[in-house]
Amino acid sequence: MRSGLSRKDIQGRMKDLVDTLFINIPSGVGSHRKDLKLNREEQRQVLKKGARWAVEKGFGTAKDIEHIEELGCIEGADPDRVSERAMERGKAQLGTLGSGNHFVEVGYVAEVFDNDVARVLGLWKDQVTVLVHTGSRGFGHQVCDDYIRVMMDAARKYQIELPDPQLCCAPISSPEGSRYLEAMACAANYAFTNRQMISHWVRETFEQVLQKSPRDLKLDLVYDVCHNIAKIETHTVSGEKKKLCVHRKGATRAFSPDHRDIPEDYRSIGQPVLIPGDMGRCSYVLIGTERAMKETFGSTCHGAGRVMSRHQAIKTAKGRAVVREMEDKGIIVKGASRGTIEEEIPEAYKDVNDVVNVVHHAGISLKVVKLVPMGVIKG
Amino acid sequence: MDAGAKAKKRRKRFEILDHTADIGLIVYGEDLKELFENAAEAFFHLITDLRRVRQKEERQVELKGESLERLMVDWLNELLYLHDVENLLFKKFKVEVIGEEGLRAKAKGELFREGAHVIKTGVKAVTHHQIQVKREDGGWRARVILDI
Repeated sequence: MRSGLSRKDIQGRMKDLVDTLFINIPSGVGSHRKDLKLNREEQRQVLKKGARWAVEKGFGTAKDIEHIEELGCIEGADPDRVSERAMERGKAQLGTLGSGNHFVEVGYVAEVFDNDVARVLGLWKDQVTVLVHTGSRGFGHQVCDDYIRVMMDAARKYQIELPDPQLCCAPISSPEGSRYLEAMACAANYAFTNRQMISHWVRETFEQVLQKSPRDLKLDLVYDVCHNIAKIETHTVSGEKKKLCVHRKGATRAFSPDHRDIPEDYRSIGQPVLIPGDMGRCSYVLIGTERAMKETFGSTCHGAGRVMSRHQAIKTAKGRAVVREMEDKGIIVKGASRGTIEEEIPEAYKDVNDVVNVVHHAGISLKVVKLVPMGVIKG
Repeated sequence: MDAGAKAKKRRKRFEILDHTADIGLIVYGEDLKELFENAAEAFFHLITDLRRVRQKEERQVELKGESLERLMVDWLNELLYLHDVENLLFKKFKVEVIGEEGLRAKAKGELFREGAHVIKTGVKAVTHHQIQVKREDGGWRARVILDI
């Protein structure tokens, strides 16, 4: 999200903002909003409609929808393809951030690489920004778990030899394959809804802490993009247009200018790509390119990637006051537990600058702005 | 207790395998019951500081099996499900029946309480990746990779 605020507008307010974000956005084990109770029918609507459901319920605005991949709803989602257990797990976790590398980060635009593109995206130097990184939570994991069983049997049925049981699969056009895609769409829609709700609470938090109206804050969604998802798309292969299933694992979509699946107001520049780094360095906004369409089915990287295992990171952080270290750098961090902060220490990740420069020079997405964190909440 | 039995007692019950993206558990057991009990304990040892968890709640787990490997993943996933949905932390496990055809077990622990308990690692899923359950040195050994 971009804002109408400059970093000096929130000077001295970051601790308040982080503390309030932490209260308003459920993060730790078992935490959820007391004002959120979904019955089964509503839960099914979430899975079918995605972010549209959230907007109907007052989370965010219709304008947000235009800036979400697939308009916040993957078609063909069928809640009947989802198990009772997934529904149970999903019910408890909708509108929660989750642990691991999930976060909400308040930052500012530290550097602009492409003025024209940044202008179209409504981004400018020193502007306050907010990044939200979360997904389908336990719901998605349960859908995966349920379908792994289905796929293990399917692989046997279709006589697919597996190098590893976790790679079990079925032809996309088979009954098992299409049922899975209908269930996966539910998980994607759950994730769109989850982010939409959290974004709404981010806005409420800013209003509450800074005592400003939404019109003054102008916390507008720049873009919401998925990673770890399979999509049915049309691409040109050897000069021929083909319908493909593009699986972006550890990758994110990066469509070129003029692509019809990107919002009208961005069509002249290409699709925005968000690449978060670790909590101590920076993150990037890039833009998709024609080269990505040709070379990577319109895809680019989605993050920095770890260099240290979580355990190694925790061992490295032992005896250190990570929260203090971050504070000394001007970054306020709050997490549900010490462990989840320590495993995310900056040196546990590759330097996102290096990673982004690789995709930039490869031409599969181009740098627009660099965001530097000021406040982070973690699950 | 004779020397042999003592040596067996001293054998380590589990170790944690480090990996950049996931985490692995190597679990040992004298027999299958112990193997599955130790796997569950290793799993919750990773999630929380077990010294702070009391045995106040009990859940019964019953699973149909197909192979020991699948059963191991299902067992840990079942406990993860209970952790996720009911916010339970388990510390003591009693496997009553175990075989290729299935498992019946009891798990004891308590509800997660903010302040009283810590979460060391949030586990997202138990995977079938490189899963192994096999006999070794007169006992059993299992390998499980977790998505965290």
